[in-house]
Amino acid sequence: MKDGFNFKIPARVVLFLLTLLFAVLIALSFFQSSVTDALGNGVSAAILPMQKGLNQLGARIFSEAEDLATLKHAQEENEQLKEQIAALQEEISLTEQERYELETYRELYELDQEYSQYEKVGARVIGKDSGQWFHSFLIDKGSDDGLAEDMAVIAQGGLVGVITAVGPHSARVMSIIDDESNVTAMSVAGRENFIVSGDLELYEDGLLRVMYIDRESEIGPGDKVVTSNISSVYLPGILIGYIDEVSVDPNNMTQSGTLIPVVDFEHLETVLVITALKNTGDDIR
Amino acid sequence: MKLKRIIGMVLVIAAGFLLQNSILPAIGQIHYIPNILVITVCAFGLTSGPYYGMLAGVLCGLLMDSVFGHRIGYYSLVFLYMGYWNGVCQKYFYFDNLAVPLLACGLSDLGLGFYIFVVSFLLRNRTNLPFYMMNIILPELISTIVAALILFRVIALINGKMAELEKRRSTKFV
Repeated sequence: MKDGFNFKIPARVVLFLLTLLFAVLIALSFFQSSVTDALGNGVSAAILPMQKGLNQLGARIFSEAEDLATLKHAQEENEQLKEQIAALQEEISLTEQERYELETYRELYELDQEYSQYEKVGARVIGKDSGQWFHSFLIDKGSDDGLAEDMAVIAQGGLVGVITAVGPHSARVMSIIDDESNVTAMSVAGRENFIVSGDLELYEDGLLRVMYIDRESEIGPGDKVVTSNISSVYLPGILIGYIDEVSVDPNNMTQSGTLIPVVDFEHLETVLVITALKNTGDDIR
Repeated sequence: MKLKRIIGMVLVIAAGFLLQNSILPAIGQIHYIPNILVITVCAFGLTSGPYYGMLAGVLCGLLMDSVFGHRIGYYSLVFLYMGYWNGVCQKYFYFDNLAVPLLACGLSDLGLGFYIFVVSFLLRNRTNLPFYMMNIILPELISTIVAALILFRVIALINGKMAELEKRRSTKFV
């Protein structure tokens, strides 16, 4: 008993057994996900009280750091905002006119399911997955606040991501810039469906990838892209971004290209969760 | 296994996790956040041997896996090996020499970066290793080494204090 351990299993054996255990768990999660889901939930339940404490502490420290940062920039911002107000007042009068036009267009397009009318809950970002590899983050609202899996998360007027897991007081969001994220989208002008997927290499330039656009489609730079009405998760009509460029693929059947998202993912502090879930028609199957 | 030392380890890991995933991202000025859990696992492995290294690794891994929704074992496995190998390297560690810990933290972070690249990117046909190397792995490696410069001694000191406390207590009662 040299360094605290009473039993004498060699470290190598412990390492081997644990490796075997985790290998089995990973393999199980592919073939029999219910077993590992239960195990994961068990671990989460054990960690949850700690996580909750961490979250509260994190949120408190977050708000203090935020206060400091705000104070520093407040004066500069004040000047800028005064200028902006003058500009905005002009814009408002213009927008008023445009709104009447918009309403008539909406009736024409039957696009009255705009997401501004969905119920929303505000939440604060309290944690991020480590490193630049993955783009998931934690928010400080959970099932107690009416959140559930697959709810869409928006910020700054655009789509941020989707809730992939919920605890009582926290939820995990996978953002659309994650390398494994795929969103079924459509262009507002042409109504054709395609895929918007995250790509780390493109995201270095602030872009997302668009794929599987029909070759005949006349989509082009600047076209507005929203979530599709055939998406299995996202409610239709949530703004994603604008097309950057598209080109015909080597297979000569589809087009692909890049998209500029409207959300600034580097500086996400608060997000809105749409608490309406999409009716996917499971009940008629 | 000494209970108090394990509780101390859990507290250090919790603090590291909070720093890495909540406080540093909230400040918003640091683009490449150092991997503090890697420093923590290295510190416990190098100062206390493979058993404590493996325990710290499993705790960090399970925390990351369950909080950020990877498959149970995804981070656990790589942190487990990180703890073991750092523990094996305990014989090269002297408190006054910071070169060994910095090298260990650097190699561990490099290993973690490669592991994530191979498992989560290469297997999905994302083959541009130079891009991921220059934009993700190396920047994180450098920031981790810089953070280790400060944090390693702190964690090693906490761990050393706890070990000392144990020894004193056990000699008193024997």
